[in-house]
Amino acid sequence: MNTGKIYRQLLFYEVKKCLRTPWLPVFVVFLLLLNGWKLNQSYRKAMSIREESEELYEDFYSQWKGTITEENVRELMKIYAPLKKNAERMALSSQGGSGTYTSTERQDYMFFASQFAEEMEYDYLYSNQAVRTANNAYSLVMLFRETGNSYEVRKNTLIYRQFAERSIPGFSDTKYLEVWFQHDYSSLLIVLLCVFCLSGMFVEEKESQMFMLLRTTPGGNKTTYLAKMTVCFAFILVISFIFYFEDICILQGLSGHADALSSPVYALRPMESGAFSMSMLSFIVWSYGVRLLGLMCIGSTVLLISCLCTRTLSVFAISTAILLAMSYMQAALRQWYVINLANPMELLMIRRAASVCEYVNFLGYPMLKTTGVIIGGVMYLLLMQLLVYRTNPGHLLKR
Amino acid sequence: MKVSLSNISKKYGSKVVLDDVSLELKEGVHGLLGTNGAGKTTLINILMGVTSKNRGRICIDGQDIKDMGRSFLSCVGYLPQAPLFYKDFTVAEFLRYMGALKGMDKDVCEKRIPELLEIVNLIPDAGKKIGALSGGMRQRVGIAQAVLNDPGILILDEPTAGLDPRERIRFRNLITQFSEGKVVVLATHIVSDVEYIANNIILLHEGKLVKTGDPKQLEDEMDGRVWELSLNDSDVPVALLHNTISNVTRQETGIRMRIVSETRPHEAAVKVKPNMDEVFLYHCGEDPA
Repeated sequence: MNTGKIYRQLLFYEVKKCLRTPWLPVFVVFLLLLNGWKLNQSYRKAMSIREESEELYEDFYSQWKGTITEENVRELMKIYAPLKKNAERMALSSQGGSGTYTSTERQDYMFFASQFAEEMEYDYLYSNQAVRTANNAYSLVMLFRETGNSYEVRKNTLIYRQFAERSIPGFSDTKYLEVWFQHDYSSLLIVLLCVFCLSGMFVEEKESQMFMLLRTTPGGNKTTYLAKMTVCFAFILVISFIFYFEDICILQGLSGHADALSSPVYALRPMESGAFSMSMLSFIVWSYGVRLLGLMCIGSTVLLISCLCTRTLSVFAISTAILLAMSYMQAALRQWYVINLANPMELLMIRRAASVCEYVNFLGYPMLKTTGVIIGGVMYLLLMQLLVYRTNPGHLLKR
Repeated sequence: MKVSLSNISKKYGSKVVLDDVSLELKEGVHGLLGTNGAGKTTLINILMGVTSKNRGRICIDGQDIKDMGRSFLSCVGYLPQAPLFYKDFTVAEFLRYMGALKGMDKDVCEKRIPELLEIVNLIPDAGKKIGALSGGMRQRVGIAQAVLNDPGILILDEPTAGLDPRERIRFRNLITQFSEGKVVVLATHIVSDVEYIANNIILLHEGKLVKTGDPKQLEDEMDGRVWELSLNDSDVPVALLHNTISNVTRQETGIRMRIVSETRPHEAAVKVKPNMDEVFLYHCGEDPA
C-alpha cells in the first residue's frame, strides 16, 4: 500500500471538507474589502496633512528624496525656517493668500514640519543617536567587566555591535510603512477566518461518527492526520499571504513610493530602538514569517479544541474565548514577558517585541526577546501538534 | 479465512466488560447476540483495534493481528453503530473517499462503486447528498463502503437499529449476498436479524460467552424447555407469571402464553418447538426491569 498515494488522494477530500461552505469565498472577499477599507481609513488619518497637498508633496519629495545633501537641507530651510520662526504667531492668526503653498501659512508650517523637516532631521541625526547608544553600551561593558558581571558584559557588547555602525543613508517616505506597522486588523480577520474554517476539522469526525471508520481504515490514522494538517497549514499560508499582501499592496498603492523598502528598518520611527538592522522589505518578509508561525500556533490551538470537543459550536465558542484570553494576556502581562513567550499572540504582534532591544537571560547568555518569542512559538506549535496527534478522533490505540 | 479470539478480557476500572471470551470464526455469518451492555460493541471494537484489551490474543489465519500492523485493516470491512457519514458528500463521492482511505487503486474503485450501488439499489441516488438520505439508504451506503475493497472479514455493529421492517429485511438480504466467502460478524440485540441468516450464533451475556452454535442446534438443545398454554384471564395463577414468558397473545376467550421453563409450568401446558427468541431468553435471562 502506497501511503504517499493515499495521502495525495486524501488531500483533495480534506480540502473539500475544509472549504465545503459555499459562501466562504464570498466571506473572504468581504473581509478583504473590510480590511482594505480599514487600511484606507488609517492611511487617510495618518496623512491628513498631506492629503490636501498631494501634488505639492510629490514635487518636493522628488526633489529631496535620497541622500540628504547640504543643498537639499538649504532649500528646505529656506522655506521652513521662516515658517518655524513665525510658528507661535501663526498659532493665533494665520493668513492665507498667494504667498502660501497650501491654504494658510500655519498649514504650510504643519506640512513642511511633519512631512519633510522632522523626517529629514530624524534620518540625518539618527547615526549620532546610534553612536551615543553604542558609546553608552561600551561604557557599561567596561563597568560590568570590572564588577565581573559577565551576562551584562555580553549583553552590552551585543548592543554596542548593533548600534555602532547604524546610519540612515537617505530620506524616503516611510509614513505609509508606519501605518502598515501599526495595522493589526488583518491579523484579527485572519484569526477569525481560522477559527471559522478550522473549528470543524476534527470535531466533524465525531459529529458524523466517521472517527470509527477513520480508526479502522489504513489511511484513516496518521495519513488522515497529515492530510488534515497539510490542508490546515496551507489554508493559513494562503489566507495570511492574501491578507498581508493586500496590506502592503494597498499602502504601496496609496503612497505611490517604494523608496523606503530599501531603507534600514530603523528608518521607521517606532523601530528606532529595535535590534534589527535589516532592510524594510526584509523586515516585512520576516514579520510575515513570524506572524505565519503565530497563526499556525493559533490554528493548532483551534484544532486541539476541535479534537477535544463534540460539537462544532462548542469549538467555535471555546476557541474564541481562549484566543480572547491570550490576546488579553499579551496586552496585560507585557511586563511578565516570560509568560508571553509561549503566547502565540505575541508572534502576531511581533512589532512590539521587535521595536525594543530587549534581552532575555538564557543560561547566562543574552537572547534577544524576539528570538525567545519565536523559540517559544515553535515549542508551542510542536506541543500543540503532539497533542492534536494524540487526541485526534482517528488516532488508533496500540493493540 | 479464520479469525480466532483467545481469552479476550476487558475491564473498565473494576467493571469487567468482557471476561475470557474465546471464539473461532470461520467463513459464514456469525450473529453476535446479547442484551444492551452485554459487551458486543466492546468485543467488536477490540477486534477492530479501536479499544485496547487487557488480555487475550486475536489471530487471523494463525497470525496475531498485532504483528499484521496496518495490513490487518485492509482485510476488514467495518460498519459502525449508527454512522451519519459526511452529510455534504454525495453517495458516490463518499464511496470514492472511503476507497482512498482504504488505499484502493482509483481505477479499481471507480469500477467497483457502480457495481456496489447496483447491488444496494442506490444507483439513482449516487449523486444525492448523504444528508438527504433516509436511515435505511444510509445503512446501505454503509454496507457498500464496508465491502468496497472486498475484505475477507466483514464486521457489522447493530446495522439494523432504527430501520423500518422493510429496510431491515432488505438489509438482511444484502448481508447474505455479501457474505459469500467472508467471515461476517453481525452484532445485534434483535434476534430476528440473525435468526434467518446466521450460520452461527454467539450469545454474549454480561461480558461472558454463554453459548455458541448454529441456530438449529441451539433450538434443538432447548427441546422440552418451551411450553405453550391457553387460559382464561381469570384462571392465570400469579405463580405462572414468575416464569420466563417469551410471548403472550390475547385470544377471544383469554390468553395464550409461551413459557421457557425446565419443568411443566402448568398442567394445561404443552411442549412446543423452541424458537431463537426463547434460546436467547433462556441463556441471557430476562431484563430485570
